[in-house]
Amino acid sequence: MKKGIRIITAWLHGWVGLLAGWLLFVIAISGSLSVWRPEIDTWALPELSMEHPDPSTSAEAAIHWLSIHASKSPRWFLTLPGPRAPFTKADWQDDNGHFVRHIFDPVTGTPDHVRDTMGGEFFFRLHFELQMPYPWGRILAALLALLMLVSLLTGVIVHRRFFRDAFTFRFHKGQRSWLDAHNLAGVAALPFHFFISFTGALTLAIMIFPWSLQSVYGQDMSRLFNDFTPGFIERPATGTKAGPLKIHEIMQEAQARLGDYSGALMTIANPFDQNAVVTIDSTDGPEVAVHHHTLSFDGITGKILADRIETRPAVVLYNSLYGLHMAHFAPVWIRLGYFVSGLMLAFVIASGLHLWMAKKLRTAPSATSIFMGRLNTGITGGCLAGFLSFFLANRLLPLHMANRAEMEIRIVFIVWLLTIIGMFIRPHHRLWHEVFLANCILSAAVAACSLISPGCSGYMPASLALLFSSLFLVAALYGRSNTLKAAR
Amino acid sequence: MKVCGTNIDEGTALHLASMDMKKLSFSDRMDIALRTIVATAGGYAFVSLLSVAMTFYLPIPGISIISLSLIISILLWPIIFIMSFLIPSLRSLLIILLASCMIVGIGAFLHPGLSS
Repeated sequence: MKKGIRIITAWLHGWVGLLAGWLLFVIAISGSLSVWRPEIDTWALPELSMEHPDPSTSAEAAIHWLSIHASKSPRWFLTLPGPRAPFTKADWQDDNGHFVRHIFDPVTGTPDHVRDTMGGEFFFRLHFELQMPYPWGRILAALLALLMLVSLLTGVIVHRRFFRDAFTFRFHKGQRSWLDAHNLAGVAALPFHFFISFTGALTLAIMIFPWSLQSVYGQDMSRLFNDFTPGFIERPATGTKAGPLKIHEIMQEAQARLGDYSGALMTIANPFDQNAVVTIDSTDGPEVAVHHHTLSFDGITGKILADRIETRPAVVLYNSLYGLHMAHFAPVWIRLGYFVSGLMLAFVIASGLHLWMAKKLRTAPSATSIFMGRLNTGITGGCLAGFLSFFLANRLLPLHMANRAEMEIRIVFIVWLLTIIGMFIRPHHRLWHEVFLANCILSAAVAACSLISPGCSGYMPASLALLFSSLFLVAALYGRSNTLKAAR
Repeated sequence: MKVCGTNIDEGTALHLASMDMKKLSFSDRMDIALRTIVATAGGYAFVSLLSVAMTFYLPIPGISIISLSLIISILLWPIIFIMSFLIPSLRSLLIILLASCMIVGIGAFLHPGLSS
């Protein structure tokens, strides 16, 4: 190429951002919300007690329920209550072999009066699966994370004067203000943007770079499983009935070896067989690395089969990078940093997209550029409206509605689609104003729902929703004043 | 620098001009299209071959070498992608990438571990 390096990188920066921008925006927003996954879970279940229950008692109650209602499932997977999510989550296979998930009331030990909701899991799954079937969503998300890295690296080459960029914002200068805001948000949280893109790509890297795994293990999946999770003991079912499971003794032993195991993952394999195995994998701790301490027990005798702490250096390095992305280690103020930086990343993407669309509309207004401009407003603004509708659907849908969790998700995409359609009906100069106003109203409605719901945990969610409502209102008023100025 | 009669800095000008396809000739566009293909596929091939070669040659067992190769793959691929647009000629890019892939690939295929 005959053009200069910075021209080429600017071109690459723009086009990579444009091609991947919409999906990266969704990933950034859903990722930011995923930082609060347990808190969103808790908010989504106002009928549950917010007091931190004893994990042992909760696990025993859930296992008792599962032994009656999910006896045919070969495995039960339980996430024990933790300080951030004070309830048990259980996954098992129904009679048709499909995985089902329920949240158990820690007091009654049943899922009977708990609403069917995806809670924070919706945003978490959307963040890396994009509502697509396995493995396509994950592959796409991994590729997008790589493109994000490319966009960031090229962005650094284009905007080489970081210090100046970080202190430059010119108000009321049209596109230049947008560009200043784009640079400012990009530069201010640049280290976060780099590590979150890198670690994000790394968490899904095996989906796009499976060749080293293939060359080491080939098709030998059991060797891979044993090597990857040496603390998990696999024993085939003998077909001889045995029981009951010595859960109480196992939990006592786990407490002695792990100390605090709240939030741990518990797997019960072959629950009614002589070869039943109970595995407890504790990962939550103050370390950045996801620190696996795994215990496996014979489910019938309660005898310990394995006690393993992950210490292999390369695995610990990988787990550290993974842990840095997941932020399980982080106290609330660091999570807040993740959340704000994630929103700033979303803003960088949205402002970049807006800059391109606005430039196209100004310099080469055509049917395509008008169409793209409207679509951009609909996708970015509609994404926020859809996500806010998820919170409203959680509160407003009838509690015992069939497939309630699915309906919550459908509502997200219906609202998103309606917003996009709305952007093609409304006058062009009012689009941003109206989409921000809609999001302001939706945020205020979420705040109201938070306040009036029975058993709601404090005023924090409502305050946060009101804060966003105010920000959307400011953005809407700013959009309106700009429109009026343009009209004059 | 002046754009549309107003003073703006170089970064702003670059950004505003960044995606103006009208300023690119047909040969420039073809060059970009080919580089995108070479950067994506060539970078992927090189990184994949390197990760396979690493599993054969580095004395690190099982899952550890996989973890390490994944970290290196994720670091290398974006850099190769960007470098593909910075190398002056497409021919040089092709030669460099092909030669790199061949060296790493031959190294991996010559290792006795491949047949086992």
